Amino acid sequence: MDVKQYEQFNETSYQTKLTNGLTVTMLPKAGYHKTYAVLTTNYGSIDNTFVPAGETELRRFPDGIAHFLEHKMFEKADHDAFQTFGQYGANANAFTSFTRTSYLFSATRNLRENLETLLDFVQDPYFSKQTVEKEKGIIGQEIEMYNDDPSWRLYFGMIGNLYPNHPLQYDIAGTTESIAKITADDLYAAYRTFYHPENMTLFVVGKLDPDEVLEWINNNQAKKHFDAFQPIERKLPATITDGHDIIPYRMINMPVNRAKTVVGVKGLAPVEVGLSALKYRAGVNVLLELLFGDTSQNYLKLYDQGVIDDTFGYDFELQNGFNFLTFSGETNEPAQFDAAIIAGLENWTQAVDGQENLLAMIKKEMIGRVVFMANSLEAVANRYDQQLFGNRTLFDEPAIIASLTLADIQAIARELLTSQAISEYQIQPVTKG
Amino acid sequence: MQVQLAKGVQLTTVTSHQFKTNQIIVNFRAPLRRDEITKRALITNLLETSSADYPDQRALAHALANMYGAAFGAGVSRKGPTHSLQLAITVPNERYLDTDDALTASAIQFLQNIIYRPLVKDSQFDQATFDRQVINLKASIESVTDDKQYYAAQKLNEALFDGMPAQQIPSYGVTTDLASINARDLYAYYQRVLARDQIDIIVVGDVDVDDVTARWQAVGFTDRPTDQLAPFFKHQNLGRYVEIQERQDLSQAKLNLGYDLPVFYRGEHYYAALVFNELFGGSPLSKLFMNVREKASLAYYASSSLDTFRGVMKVQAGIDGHKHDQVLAIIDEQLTAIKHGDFTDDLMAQIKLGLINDFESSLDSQRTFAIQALIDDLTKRTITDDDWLQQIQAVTREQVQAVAQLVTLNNGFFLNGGGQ
Repeated sequence: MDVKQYEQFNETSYQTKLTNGLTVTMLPKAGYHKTYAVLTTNYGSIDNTFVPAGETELRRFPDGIAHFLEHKMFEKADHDAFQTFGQYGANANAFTSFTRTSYLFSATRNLRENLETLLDFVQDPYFSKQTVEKEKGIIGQEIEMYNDDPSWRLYFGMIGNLYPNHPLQYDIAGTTESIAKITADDLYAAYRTFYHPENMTLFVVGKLDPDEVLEWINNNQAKKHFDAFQPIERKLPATITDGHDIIPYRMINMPVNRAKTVVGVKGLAPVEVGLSALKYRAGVNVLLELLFGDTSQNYLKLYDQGVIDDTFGYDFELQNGFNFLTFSGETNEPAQFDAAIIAGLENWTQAVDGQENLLAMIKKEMIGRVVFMANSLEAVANRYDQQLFGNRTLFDEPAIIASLTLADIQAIARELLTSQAISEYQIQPVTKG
Repeated sequence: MQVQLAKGVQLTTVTSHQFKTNQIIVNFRAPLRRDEITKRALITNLLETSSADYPDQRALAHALANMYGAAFGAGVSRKGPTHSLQLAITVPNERYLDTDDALTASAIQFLQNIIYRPLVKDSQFDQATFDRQVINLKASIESVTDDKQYYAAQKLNEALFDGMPAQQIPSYGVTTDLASINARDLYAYYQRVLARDQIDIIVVGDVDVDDVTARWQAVGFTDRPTDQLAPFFKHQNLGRYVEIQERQDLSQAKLNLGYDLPVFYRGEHYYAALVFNELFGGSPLSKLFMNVREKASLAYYASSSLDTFRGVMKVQAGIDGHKHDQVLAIIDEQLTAIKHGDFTDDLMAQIKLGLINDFESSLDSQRTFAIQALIDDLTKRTITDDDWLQQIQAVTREQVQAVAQLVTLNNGFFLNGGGQ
């Protein structure tokens, strides 16, 4: 077991890879009542074309299959995993993102039983024609609910602009039409391909004893057989590095009170996984704060002019294989909002050059935020992403933030903030007739 | 530890080594009055974005960033017949940072600056800041209706408290009030808040109690006119079902139901009502979740919640608009089943274990301690963690059935799809 001490934070992480390939990380938190565990597979909504385990040819699967599989994992021949967690007093949940599917529970009691329930239900698939058909109604409702949500439509509208030829543009849950095609056989094929322990990680944080927990996990895994891992072949379109495929502008009407708008920037250059990805994310977050954070000159100016208000926000999404920025808000004048953001991006040097003092302050703020996240078991666990950052945890971040220089930020900005990577998407109110 | 700083002004310090941050909350509590709600919401917007020491948002943001990203916020809320205006700041504990700054002391000073040195000229809030925040509050209130789940909940609340405007309107106010509020009158009202509202100051973390106490004593708080407010507002049972329907351009319909349930916080039937709610619609093991969502596939979500400061229960469901009658019937069947004791002992035990899990989990959140201290001060019904657990364990099937008998469906709000 690898033991890593984070002395400044009075925290220790314990990590090991089991003989079946599963990577296990544990982080005990003194004084906590609860334990949070999350079991993740490197399989998300964009993985819709792959060579299924035991086959040799690429196959295209219906959009939304990773999310559908996540829903169906809970249901077994004679019980529902939610109920088993319920018997042990745990809260259970699951979520699917573009690149990952995670199953989790939190509990203050019966940790061993809950851990075994988590491993057992995710490692024992059961799909039947009948249960698959029933699920289509439940997920159909979920898709409809998101269709009514303007913020969701805005986000996916922008992704559609930036990635018009990439599965990223599809709703994580798929569409009513695409999920109608999903069969139990499809689910088994996806399961066998992506749910091998070698492609999965388990992160446990909170009230726990690492030696005891590892022994429980080892005993549980020893009872199960897994075939030899077959490296996964997935097909994803390559990023077009000059950005010529980006749709520069689209607009839709919805029954909203105020217009919503988003400016997006597609990261055209690849980001290397591992330490450099973690450093890149921190650097981009510093850059965003310098450009449009509430400590910036731009923010105050635009706020006082009424161009942006408290609904303004920005986000950097970094995943294995793609990254993009979004700046969004509600406004009565979306064109004015977009123009102001784009001007701020194109004139980034004005907000960055010579701002050593502001950089020092922003670094303090970001390091402080790590201390905040250290309080939350969920934040500690969900910040971990082995696929993207290797075996680093939240507590590796302060040293990385501290190392950033203004030259690092300038280098990121020069590459990332190019005009051909920028796009706009707006939701305008329906004109009342 | 608790110190009375003046009549109606209390400082509660909860020392804990569990968290890596320290949290300070100042809560102003007053009787809920229809005419004051929007004013109080606007005051929080003003205090959150400006003060004499930090005249604009950038200056304020710099002060917070320099305290290692301190999180500062202000907000309003309703509890029964009371309204709270609250300011909160959380700072990292400096022992986890490379700094000699006394961050907790700085954070207390910051809050005091915000509260006692607002951005004021000639006895009125700074006009430009005031105008900007009126526009922003108006926009944010209007945007709430874009969230259909929230909109339906708000419409149900209006129906449940028909004829009682202070209970009907949202705790963050209504846009129609804004035109009649000006910067001078609002500042005068704020002076009344400072002088008359009950104040709770809550500090949670690994702090020096004597130092914290001295810093708040230095403010020189004056006595309030009263030191105890009525904690509960009793909903009037209509005795029959009235449903309001509305159509909008939506793909998923919303059905929200309001029930009279005269059970109050830590009063008679309280613990049985907690178990009842978890069993009815408050958890993934509940009747609503299992039967309406899972078994019958009638809804994407269906859940219940209690408001034990007003004596009501609410159900919210996202459904297919054509299935309105079916959903209404199946929700009623679940209630009838509980009245008749149609649930297993195993399920009852699991429901209790779930409640206990949620309770113990909440002890891992710094904010829980502050929220509990505020409720304790309002209700004066304090119990230990062990007593809470014992009370839940002691709830019987018969007690849960008895609570179900107290429930009366009163109001419904149905937001259907299909346009105007």
